[in-house]
Amino acid sequence: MSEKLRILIVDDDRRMANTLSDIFKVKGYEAQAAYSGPEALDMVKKGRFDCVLTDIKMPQMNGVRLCRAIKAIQPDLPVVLMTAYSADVLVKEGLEEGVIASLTKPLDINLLLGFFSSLRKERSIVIVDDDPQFCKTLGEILRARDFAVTQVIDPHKVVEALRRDAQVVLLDMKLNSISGLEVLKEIRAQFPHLPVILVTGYREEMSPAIEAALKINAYTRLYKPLQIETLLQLLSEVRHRELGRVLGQPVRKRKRVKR
Amino acid sequence: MKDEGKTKKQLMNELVELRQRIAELGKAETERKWAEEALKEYSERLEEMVEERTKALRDAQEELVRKERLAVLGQLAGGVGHELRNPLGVISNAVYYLQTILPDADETTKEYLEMISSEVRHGEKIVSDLLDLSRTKPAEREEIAVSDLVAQVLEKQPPPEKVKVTTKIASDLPPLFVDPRQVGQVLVNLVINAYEAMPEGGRLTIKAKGKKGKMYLSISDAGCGISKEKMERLFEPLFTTKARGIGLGLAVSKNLVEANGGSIEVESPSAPLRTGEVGKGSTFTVVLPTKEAQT
Repeated sequence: MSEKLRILIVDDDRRMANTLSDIFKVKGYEAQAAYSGPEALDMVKKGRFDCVLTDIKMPQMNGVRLCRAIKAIQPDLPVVLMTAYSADVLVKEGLEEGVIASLTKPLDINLLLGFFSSLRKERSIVIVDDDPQFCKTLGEILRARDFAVTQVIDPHKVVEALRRDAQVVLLDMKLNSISGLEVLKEIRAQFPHLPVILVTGYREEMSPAIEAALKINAYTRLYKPLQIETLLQLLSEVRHRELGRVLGQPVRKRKRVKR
Repeated sequence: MKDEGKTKKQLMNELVELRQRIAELGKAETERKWAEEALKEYSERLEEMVEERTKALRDAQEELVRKERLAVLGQLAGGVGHELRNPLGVISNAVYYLQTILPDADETTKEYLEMISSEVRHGEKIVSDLLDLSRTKPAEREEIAVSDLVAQVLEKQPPPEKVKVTTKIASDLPPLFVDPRQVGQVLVNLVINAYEAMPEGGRLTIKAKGKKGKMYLSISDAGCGISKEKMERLFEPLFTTKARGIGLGLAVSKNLVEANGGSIEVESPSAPLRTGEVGKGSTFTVVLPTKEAQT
């Protein structure tokens, strides 16, 4: 992404919207201000934005309603709320609606700048599987969807591969020379928060290992053959959580799906 | 008179009867004395009971007044606090902008910009304390290790240069079952207080002990301690011993700890009872529920 990140700032307090857009422009982003929900919606329809930062409490259309309307046009556009009212019921509603986070005014600008640079980063994934064929085919599918993919066939080199800015790991639980659980422990020792998705083709046989892995904070598990749609959905869920984490949104434990 | 005709035997009988009556009378007297004593004891006990009840009532009333005061304060805080956040937000943005475009400004300008920025942060802290006090959000409790929570707090609020921190937390303690944000905020408040109690430096000790499904987490400073009369008012809102500060930190902390099913206590061990004198150091102990207690 060599182009500038385009940010839309929405606040009925013009001074708020203007100061923010001035700051972001000085910091090298393309920023535009809108002073109401409908105006912002109009701009989203006409132009392309990479992120929307909106106040919650506004006349005509509040920030949560704006978010809902934006998601109907561009579902993957990240929306961040800002508010002076931290305990507002609308904050909860917004989070259910799919906003990345809700920030309290005065805003922590450095936090936001960190968030913008995470948004700019390429989405990267590390696939750990000693089956080269599996690695290759899945890698191609993900690359076609703009992921930076690293394939690791030798499980002893996982931690090394992770040094390069990995955002998520896809880990096969049944490897030839070492158990997936051992690899996960190695990863955890170095990267305590990195989301790791377990993959296995052996439901019954691997279930104790998977239970143990989920206990040490593996994100979730998938069974081979992989459903690509499920995987992609999971990956966007992971990204959403990670972006929220950058903005200080508390990370909830993922609900365990009972089968 | 007829009596003159009584025989010796009759007289003897009468004498025996008389003796019996005297004995009976004596017994009655003892019983009366015993009853009197019981009555006296009972009335004393009654006095004690009345005193106890009165104290309980007074405490309840004080608690009620405290809660009422909090509620009124809360309403006011809710209104004013929120409205203050908007202008604070704009000032803070404006200063950030100026600091970004003026990296080469003269020292005085830089100093003043930094002054505005830090005053905005101070104002923001007051507002969020007020809001926390006015409306304690329901605790979102989860498992968290004491050591992790303490590490997070110390990372967020590192000690000033002259303060040394010692933590004594065993690795085999059961995890806490609390809202990590709320309890984290309480610990941050206590740690800041401890730092500020030792402007010349000293040792801050954080200890954790588990007992019967509860965790006793104590934070001790080596500061000048707290006098007895101040100790009594310490958790009241708007009571402060600091030159800067409006006295909300501990009131907020008490509310947050209670919302998590815990309690908070303070000790200033060698504080003498005479007025105005203080002992050496204070210890705040937060008692929190552990995961064990929930299962």
